Amino acid sequence: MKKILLIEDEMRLHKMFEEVFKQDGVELISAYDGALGLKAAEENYPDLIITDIVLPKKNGFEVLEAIKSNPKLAKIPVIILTNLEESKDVGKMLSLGAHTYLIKANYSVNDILKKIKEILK
Amino acid sequence: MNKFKKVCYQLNIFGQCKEYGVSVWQCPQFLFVLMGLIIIISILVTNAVAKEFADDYIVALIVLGLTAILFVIGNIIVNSFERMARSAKEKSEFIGIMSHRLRSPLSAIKWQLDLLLGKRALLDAEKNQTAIGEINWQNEKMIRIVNDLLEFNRIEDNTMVFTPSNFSLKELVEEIAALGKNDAEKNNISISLSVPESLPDVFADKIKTKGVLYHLLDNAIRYSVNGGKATVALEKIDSKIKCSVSDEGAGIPKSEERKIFTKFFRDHNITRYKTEGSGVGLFIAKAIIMRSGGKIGFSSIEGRGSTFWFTLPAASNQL
Repeated sequence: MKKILLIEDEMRLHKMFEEVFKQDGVELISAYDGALGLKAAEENYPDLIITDIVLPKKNGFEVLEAIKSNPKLAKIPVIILTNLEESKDVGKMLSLGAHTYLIKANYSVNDILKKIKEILK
Repeated sequence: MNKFKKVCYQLNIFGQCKEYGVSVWQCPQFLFVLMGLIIIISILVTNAVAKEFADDYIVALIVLGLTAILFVIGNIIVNSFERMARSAKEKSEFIGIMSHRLRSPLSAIKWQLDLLLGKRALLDAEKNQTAIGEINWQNEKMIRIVNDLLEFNRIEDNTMVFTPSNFSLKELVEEIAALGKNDAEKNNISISLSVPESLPDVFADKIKTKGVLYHLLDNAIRYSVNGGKATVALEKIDSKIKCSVSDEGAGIPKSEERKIFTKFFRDHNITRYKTEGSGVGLFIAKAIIMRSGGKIGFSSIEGRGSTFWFTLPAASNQL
């Protein structure tokens, strides 16, 4: 079973994604802030990490930087799922090594699942 | 002076100053006309003095004095333009922040509707109910954000409308604490209430006071990045009811204390990437409490937490 780590401070989104992923036979690991997200990544070694940028304790940039500088985690693809879309944010995330940058409001649940499946192939 | 005012009205300078929401002494149009008049007068005076006194030293002193006055006015004009430019930048940043805040509930609603409309497998009745509940919650969140925007605008335009009545602040506190419970748990924060058994009602605008309480508790939760306890306490002091909201969060640096109730203020201890604060909550709260005949303030120790408090007049028939 594939494992996806979701780092997102909106608790309600975890419940929704958990439900959706369950139908596709994917296990969801939840973390509600950046520091817990990094800890969960090291403990579970997921197949994919989805993270927001606006996060308590460690923001999305700090999380991605830490993942990419950790040899054990560096190869895990990271999707940025956020509502921030300033070009400097997008550019910084992609230069730090994010696989995909998705704006929450512009994608349906199905669009997001399609992207996830493409990456997990 | 009256003729000068008349010219100003004819040039619509006062109207423009009012439109920009600044006093005439901060209004570039007015200062520009004033500087022009001073230049004309100074040339005439210098000319007259130079004719009257042959002494170059006196003429030079007068020219020096007038140049100093023009320099000061020029500096005021530059500052005034700077202030307007800063204000435009802050408003543009504010629009960005509020749009981002609106996008969060909008995307959550969009995704729940995706599920309800069956783009995925059909949900059962219980899950449908959960999705509808979620849409309702996010919709309430959007209403609060839009209300903030409208309230902010009304404060700026000085058109806030108050409908005061007697109501129980204790019940309002309990309602807001229940509303903030989920967010508090998510941030590892426990909310505790310290409310006396009996307390007189307050006389204020209930909806607006609810907004103030919501902002204070939301800030306490939002800025307590390391968890802890948020306490809401009520007490009667003379003819006022005092409400305090304390947290064990980041606290406010001494250098930023002065700006805490100004519009667009956001604590630099928390970057824009760590919380979604809009920077107008405390500005709105202060305007509402002051208009209600109360007071608002805070005490804080950086790194240890803050206590925000406000007072409201107790209902006169219950004192």
